[in-house]
Amino acid sequence: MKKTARVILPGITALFLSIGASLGFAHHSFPVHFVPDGEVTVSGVVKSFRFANPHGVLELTVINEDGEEEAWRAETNSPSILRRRGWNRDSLSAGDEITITGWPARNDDNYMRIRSVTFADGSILATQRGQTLDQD
Amino acid sequence: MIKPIQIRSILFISLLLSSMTMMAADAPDISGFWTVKFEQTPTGTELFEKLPEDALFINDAGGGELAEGDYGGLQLTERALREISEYDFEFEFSMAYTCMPPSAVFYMQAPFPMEIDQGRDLIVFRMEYFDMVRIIYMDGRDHPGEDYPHSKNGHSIGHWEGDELVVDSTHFVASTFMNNGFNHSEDIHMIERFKMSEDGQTLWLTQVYEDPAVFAGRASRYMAWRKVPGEHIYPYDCDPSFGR
Repeated sequence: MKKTARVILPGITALFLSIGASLGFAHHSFPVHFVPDGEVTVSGVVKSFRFANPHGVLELTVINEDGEEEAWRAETNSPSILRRRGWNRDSLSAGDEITITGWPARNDDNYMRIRSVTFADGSILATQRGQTLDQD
Repeated sequence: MIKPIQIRSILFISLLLSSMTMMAADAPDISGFWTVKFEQTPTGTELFEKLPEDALFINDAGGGELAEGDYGGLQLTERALREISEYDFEFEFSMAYTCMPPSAVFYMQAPFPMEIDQGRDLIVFRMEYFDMVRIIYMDGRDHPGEDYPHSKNGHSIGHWEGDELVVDSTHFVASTFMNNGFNHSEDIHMIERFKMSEDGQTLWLTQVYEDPAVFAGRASRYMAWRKVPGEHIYPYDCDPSFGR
């Protein structure tokens, strides 16, 4: 049986590395719907923020390069996880000027999974381990 | 009048019950709040020595989801391939799907905390993820017949082997196996081994699955949690309005 452990352990090491870099579990598939190695950043004004499982949802009004308004939506990972990382339903409010960075959706130009939110005063709210208050 | 053979039977049953009670009394207490342990190096190697050599290790537990088309090297059956080809990923954004929980096969390795309540005849896993509650019968009963209702929690019977909790589960409904369009079937059979570290701060789990309806051979996963005294799970209270 020792042989099993030796055979499997390299895989386990990979597992632990992948866990450390986990992008956030979803009720829907993350790698199917988002680009894990992609990144998108937009700035705008919060229209609404809903903080409920399975995902928080942020609606953002963005002024694009042509000076036109664009409606963006962005989801968080589970609020159950985020509340232990310092988030709550009042973390974002309508009218807040923010910049959000995240993983772009594969099939929706104006949709992303949020990695971090930067407020006008420079403070940052992050969704991932190691980037903010983290009790996981 | 009681015959000698009856006395022997009574003595045997009494000894068996007595030993079971002792085993339960001597069993580790795994009660409490456990949150996923993100380890840089593996610590639960002891359980791996008990994994069957033919059980293909699935490297996705704790949030490391596999991509579309990646099934961890499992050899899928025609049924599984057909179901995958018919799977509609856009349905995952529908209101109907949003609050549909996975089965214990999947939710046990999700990166959410859990609370365990341990009694002599029952061990209860209360999962934060989708508010799922899983009961492990420790009273020596067997699985019910095939006509017993299948569910996301399945039917689980457990026993202690030394300091390891061994749980045998059946009676699931078909549900996601890897969160990438590949579902396990209603006939999946899962055997789990839980083991707590000597200092009581870490809980390890290995799972071994057999599901010949959708894949050949056996597969396995591994998880680890750390104990957080005084913490509790929060209600998940899934809100379907996330769906479009």
